[in-house]
Amino acid sequence: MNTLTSVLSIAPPLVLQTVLLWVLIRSQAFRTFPWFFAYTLFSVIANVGRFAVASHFDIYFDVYWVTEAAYAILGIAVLYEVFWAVFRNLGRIWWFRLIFPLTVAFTIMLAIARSQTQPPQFSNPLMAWIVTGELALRLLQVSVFALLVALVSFLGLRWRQHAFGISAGFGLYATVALLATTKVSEFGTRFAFMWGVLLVVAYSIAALIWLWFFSRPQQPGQLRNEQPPLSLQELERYKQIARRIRRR
Amino acid sequence: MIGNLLVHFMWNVIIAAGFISCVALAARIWFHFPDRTKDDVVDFLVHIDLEKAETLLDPIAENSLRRTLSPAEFCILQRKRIHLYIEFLQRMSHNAAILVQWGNLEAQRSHERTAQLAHELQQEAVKVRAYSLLALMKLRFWLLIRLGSWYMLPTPSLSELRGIYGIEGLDAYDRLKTVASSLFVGHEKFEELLQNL
Repeated sequence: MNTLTSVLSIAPPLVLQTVLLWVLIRSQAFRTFPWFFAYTLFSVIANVGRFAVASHFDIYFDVYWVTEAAYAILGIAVLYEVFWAVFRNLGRIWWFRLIFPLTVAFTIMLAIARSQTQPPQFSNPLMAWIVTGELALRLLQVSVFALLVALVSFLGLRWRQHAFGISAGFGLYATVALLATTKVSEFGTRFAFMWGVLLVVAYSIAALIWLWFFSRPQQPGQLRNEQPPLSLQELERYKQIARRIRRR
Repeated sequence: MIGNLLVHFMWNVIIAAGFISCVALAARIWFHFPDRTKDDVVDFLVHIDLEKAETLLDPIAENSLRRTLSPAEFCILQRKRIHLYIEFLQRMSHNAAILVQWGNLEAQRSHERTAQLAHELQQEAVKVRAYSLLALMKLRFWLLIRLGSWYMLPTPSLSELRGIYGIEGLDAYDRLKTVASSLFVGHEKFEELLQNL
């Protein structure tokens, strides 16, 4: 990898991730989203590490694959955190608790099935497994994002939640990454550079989405407390009276 | 071979779902309703005649119609009844969506009982929305294949739709009404809320 290519592929995301890290620290988001904070911190460290060894191919190769594996594990933790942040109020509904594990199982099965039909071309089996794991993660990110968009629209939950922003960033990037992976396997390396540029652009847009969501206030300030509501029993009595009045 | 095609198909479906979700999210950000307060609830609700809905799901009334009318007449009447229940379900789903949006805002209040009731409102609204969606799918499927028109199978029964996957539709809606009214107490449009729900 020449220096110019490494600067172009690493520098824009690194700058944006560093700004995001600062925003997360300032807004104390590590309290509400510790895994996303860990992911952002790790991505800054990993990108600095990759940048530092970009001119030494052998070391870069090892650093790249080790950090990719760590990204995959952190990515799943972030998605789990996001899912429960959005749906924590619905945890008492039993079938809601099944949605995330079922989605994870489905995407892992699909990624393994695809790796059987179109095996990744690597001599090292560990790398082939890392690529399969990464594909499974991208599938999971897209699936969880689509699921969140569908459920949030269907249930009418708040769209401005930080969790939704995190998922939107991952969803956009993972969709482009999946498309790029699929097209590279179909067209070979002919458009590899173009897909590489597309991935950097998509990741930068994802980082901008996270920055936008985290730099806006989560809640419209503290709401004033009005008269506290009646209990349900009191209300039932009130409703009976109201019905009687209406019938007159 | 079929397995490969299925994997390829699912793969492309997920990529397409990702892109469609990006577009849907952008549209949602652009067109969304601002924070829904107490004042933005009543005017958006649509009245539902729950007694009529209850009658549509009554197995005794339905059996009586089935016995007294000819199969052809009952089939026509049942299609009308299905359309009417679809209308009620759409209104229930719409009202639940309005209430859950308001519940999102109320859930942020620092008063413990208000926040607790708002969470309850969200949960009941989700149940109503889930019930409406599943019941609508079932009813539209019945209309699509015109079950009953072929006289090979009996005309479908609306009373089967009282409960779907453990959710009793009208009971869930009644609980939603109660929780919503409880949160609404003290507002000048309380009476209107009771009438519109």
